[in-house]
Amino acid sequence: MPEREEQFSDETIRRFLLGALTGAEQATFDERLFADDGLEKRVRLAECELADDYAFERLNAADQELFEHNFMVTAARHQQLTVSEALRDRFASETVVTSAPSAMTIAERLKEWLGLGQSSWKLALRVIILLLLIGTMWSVLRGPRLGQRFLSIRRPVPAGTPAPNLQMAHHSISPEPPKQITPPDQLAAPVTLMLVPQHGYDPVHIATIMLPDGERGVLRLQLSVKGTPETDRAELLTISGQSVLVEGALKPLPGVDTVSFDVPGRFLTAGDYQMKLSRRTDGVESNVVTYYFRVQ
Amino acid sequence: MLQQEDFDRLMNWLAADAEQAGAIYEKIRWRLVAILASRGCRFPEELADETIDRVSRRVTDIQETYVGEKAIYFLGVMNNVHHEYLKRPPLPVVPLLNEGARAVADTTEQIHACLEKCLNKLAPNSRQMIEQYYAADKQAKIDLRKRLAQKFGVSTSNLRLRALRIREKLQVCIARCVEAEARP
Repeated sequence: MPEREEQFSDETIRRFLLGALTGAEQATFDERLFADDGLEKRVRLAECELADDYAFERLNAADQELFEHNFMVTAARHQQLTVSEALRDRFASETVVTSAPSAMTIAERLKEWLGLGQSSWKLALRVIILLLLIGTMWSVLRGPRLGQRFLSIRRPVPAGTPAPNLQMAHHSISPEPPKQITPPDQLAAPVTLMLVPQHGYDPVHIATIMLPDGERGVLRLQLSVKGTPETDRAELLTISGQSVLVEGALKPLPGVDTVSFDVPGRFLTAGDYQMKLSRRTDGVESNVVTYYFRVQ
Repeated sequence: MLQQEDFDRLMNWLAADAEQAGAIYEKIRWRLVAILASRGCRFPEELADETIDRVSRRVTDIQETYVGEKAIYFLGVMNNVHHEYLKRPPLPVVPLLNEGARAVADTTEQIHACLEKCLNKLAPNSRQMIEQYYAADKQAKIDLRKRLAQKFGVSTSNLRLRALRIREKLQVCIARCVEAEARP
């Protein structure tokens, strides 16, 4: 009975879990919990969220105390908290690179790297290396093609940079990854597949590509959007409609008719896929264009 | 001490089908534990089991005449059990909590290993959502969750529900995984 269920706010449910309801509230809540499956589901979800909030240190001091005193009283909840902590540890390590700015200033980093205060011959050597690096960077950036490539790998997806060695075809395959400057400890150079919009799924004439190599492999879909209206959502699905990856708006660079969509190899298995670009108008989402391809 | 035949009678009273009766039993026990914990009981699981034991012993007397939602009957018995508990002299709580905490600490490594396994079992889209939802926690949470909701084409409240449902599935998967690994 959803209308009855709505009588309890998320905040009330949280206070129930923290043992902070008043006597009257408690009696009503207890009875309802025994009669309302919907409320039970909400309480179960709220339990998970509360454990997460504690693990991620988002509770205020008072709630923290209530949590420790009133919530952590069953083995199941202890395990719930351990899972929350595991999630925190698991995903915190993934975000460290982007979220943990160093306390050192650039000047301090440069000073440390240059080794100011060390013996002069070491300093001279480091200055020479620095000058060589600056010179190399300058020559790379001056070449328009290389410069464009260099910029494209630093820009997060969506990217609209065309790869010069691509062929636009219904089933074009680029067997070799484009030669790009990729840090060796990051993902492998993407294998790029150029796609044009299709009016329907044609399993006989479908663009085909080999599965990118291993966990570090990346498939870069280069999607032709010439003459296509602006879209605000991109979704990769299996041909049967199971969603694989979703991305926000993919916008082409000025003067470029393609957008790119990177798919980590670990998300792909052999089979046929569809790539949909859609847009939302007045709250209604409509498909704008679809591309199809096969992974072997 | 609860006799097997009392327990069987209880299950039979809850539902004729054994599997269905098991599901109802679990549901009732979970609700009893949640309510007793919310009322500030230090041992909600023990009191919930005490409640179930008492109902089991009364099934013979009530099964012919009781009318209404059976689960509600447990609530009445639980109130009695709770009143009795409140009259008892307070017991030290530390040993039980420490015991529970130690038991969980023993499984922490297993839980981390099982988390990886369970993440791998998620559908790619669910995995992507949960990874980004929890990664967003470490940064400017509200903004990132708004952007994440936009990306998945859902409202922020819907995103929260979907992420928590995946989180709940993970919890169940991890519990099963830990249990399976603990078996000899």
